[in-house]
Amino acid sequence: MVSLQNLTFAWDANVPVLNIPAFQMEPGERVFLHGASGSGKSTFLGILGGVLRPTSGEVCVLGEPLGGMRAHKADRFRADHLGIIFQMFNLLPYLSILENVLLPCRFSTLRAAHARESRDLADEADRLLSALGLPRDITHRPVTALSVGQQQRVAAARALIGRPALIIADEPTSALDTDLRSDFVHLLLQECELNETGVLFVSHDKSLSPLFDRTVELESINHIVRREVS
Amino acid sequence: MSWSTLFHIAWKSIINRRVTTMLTVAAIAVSVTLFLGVEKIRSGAQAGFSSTVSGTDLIVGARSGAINLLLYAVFRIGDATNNVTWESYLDITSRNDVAWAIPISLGDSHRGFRVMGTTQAYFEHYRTGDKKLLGFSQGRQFGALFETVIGADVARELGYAVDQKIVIAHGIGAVSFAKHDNLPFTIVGVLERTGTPVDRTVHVTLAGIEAIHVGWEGGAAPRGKARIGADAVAELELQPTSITAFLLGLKTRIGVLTAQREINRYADEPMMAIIPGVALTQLWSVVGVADTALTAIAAFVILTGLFGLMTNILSSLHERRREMAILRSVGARASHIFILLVSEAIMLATAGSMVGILLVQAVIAVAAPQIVKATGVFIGSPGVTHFDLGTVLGVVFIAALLALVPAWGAYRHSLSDGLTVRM
Ligand SMILES: Nc1ncnc2c1ncn2[C@@H]1O[C@H](COP(=O)(O)OP(=O)(O)OP(=O)(O)O)[C@@H](O)[C@H]1O
Ligand SMILES: [Mg+2]
Repeated sequence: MVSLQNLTFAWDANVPVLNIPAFQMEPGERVFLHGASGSGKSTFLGILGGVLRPTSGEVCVLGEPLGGMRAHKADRFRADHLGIIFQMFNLLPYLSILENVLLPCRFSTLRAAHARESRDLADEADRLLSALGLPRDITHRPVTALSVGQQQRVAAARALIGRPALIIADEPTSALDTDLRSDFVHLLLQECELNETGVLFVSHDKSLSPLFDRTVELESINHIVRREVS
Repeated sequence: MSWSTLFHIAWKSIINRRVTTMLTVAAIAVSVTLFLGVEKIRSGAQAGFSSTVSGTDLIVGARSGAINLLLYAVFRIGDATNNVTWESYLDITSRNDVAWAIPISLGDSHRGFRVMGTTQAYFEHYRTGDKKLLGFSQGRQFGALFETVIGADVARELGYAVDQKIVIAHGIGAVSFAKHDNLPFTIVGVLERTGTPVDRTVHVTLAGIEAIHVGWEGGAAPRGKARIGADAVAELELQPTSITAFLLGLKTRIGVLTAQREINRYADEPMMAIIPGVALTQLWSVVGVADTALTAIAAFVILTGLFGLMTNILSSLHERRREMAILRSVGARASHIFILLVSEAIMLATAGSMVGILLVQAVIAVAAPQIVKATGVFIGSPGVTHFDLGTVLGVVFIAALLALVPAWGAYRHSLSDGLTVRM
């Protein structure tokens, strides 16, 4: 599903951030990625998301050589196969909840087709929102009127719509309080399990790791020689 | 992804920032209104200007400047420095190539309107821009000595109609104390509106002008015995000694330059002949400078509005970096981000210039009648011209061009930010 070989990445030629000889994910596997702040987790996800280009090495996602793809192909690939959740501010404030959830279907006909398989788009969005625990009666509110926890549920529904093969989540729970976190992750993983969607989940919060199939320390796969700035 | 989604997102984003959006659109609208307004006045003035006189081959007067001669003979503004003697007039109009001649005698006024002495030839040969002879909305040409034909504005502004009697004042001030009140004139005709200085002229016979000046040779109003009545004047043989200028129509236009040269070299008296079209162009090039300056200023005002638009987009970029990262995460290309911003600029500029066009139309509908009344300049009736549409296209094009700056910035960000939502 995901396989890396000799990946290196540097924002600035003198300061390597990533040097990962190998990393694999099985289809449908749910991986918890842990690492210190500034260790390069978000950068790593950017490469897997096809937004950043590796400096060298091979990146294959779903068997496609994402690292060497032309930019617009990588963008198309992301729209078709990846669902992405950020730490916060996931939503466009001027779109409705429904419009926010359906955004991937606007950029990818594949996602739209998947979402339409059993019901129409709006119903599928509704289904996801309630599966993720968003109360039904608030789906017509403007997104700016939602709590952070509710916003993250909308973001998760957006990532999940149209059955992408892989969900990439960059600390989506760090703005939530502890009770909500495991509840949110639980519902997210449940929904992923239904479609055998792979998950790469980044967090500082080790208490969430038991919910996943596997935990990876970024420091243990990343072999950069850190040059401390003194 | 489809264009409609992109436009939908751009649109929603614009609406979301409605206050700055409205101000930006208003700035563009006002600047476009100003620009188009100036242009309408300019073209109206130019059209009105060049249609003041036509069909006349030469204008002849005492030697002075060409523009001065044009101003007093056609626009009835200012004064002649010298007159042309009646003998010279007869001499020149007896040339073989002369088809017709209209003598003009200026110098008196009626309540702020110029009084012009002329002959019936004026009604037979004087043509305004569209080659039309003067038409009558009431009455007829003057025939007898103390009859007058007034222009449309004179009739309207002073509320005159046929059969009324008017008194002509000596000199050309609006308020004149020396009046030829012993010899009133009867209005026998009112001319149709021409949009030219004819509308503001009181026409009398050349002999009438002579008549009211009998006894005024000293320059002051005659008293006692010298002050005579209409009956007595009618018995005099009234032959003008001089006139202010005259218009000539030639038999063939080919001879115009020759005739002009010969009149300019006329031996008995210093005279000059001008070709109306040439002189009008010359005069317009003087007037047109102010006008070009205005147009340039208006164009710069538009540019200011467009810079405002660019500033608006640039300053929104900072807070919208997040928005861009979100769009990227759901599959937008970096080029989509670019297009998003450019299309936003296009929408704002289009909206602004459309509102501008509507405003101009409204202003024309309301103000055009007032402007014609006050200045005689006809700025056109409401209606969207090619120039208006061209302006919209130009404004939108420049807006799109200026938007390339913020769009490029956003494009670069969206490439370098990766998938992180930056603040
Ligand atoms: N856009 C960028 N331009 C230049 N350097 C960057 C950029 N983004 C990140 N970096 C640098 O790359 C390194 C890794 O950053 P990254 O954001 O991947 O860390 P992280 O592990 O996600 O940290 P956190 O847990 O705090 O989110 C940091 O040293 C950071 O300064
Ligand atoms: Mg990070």
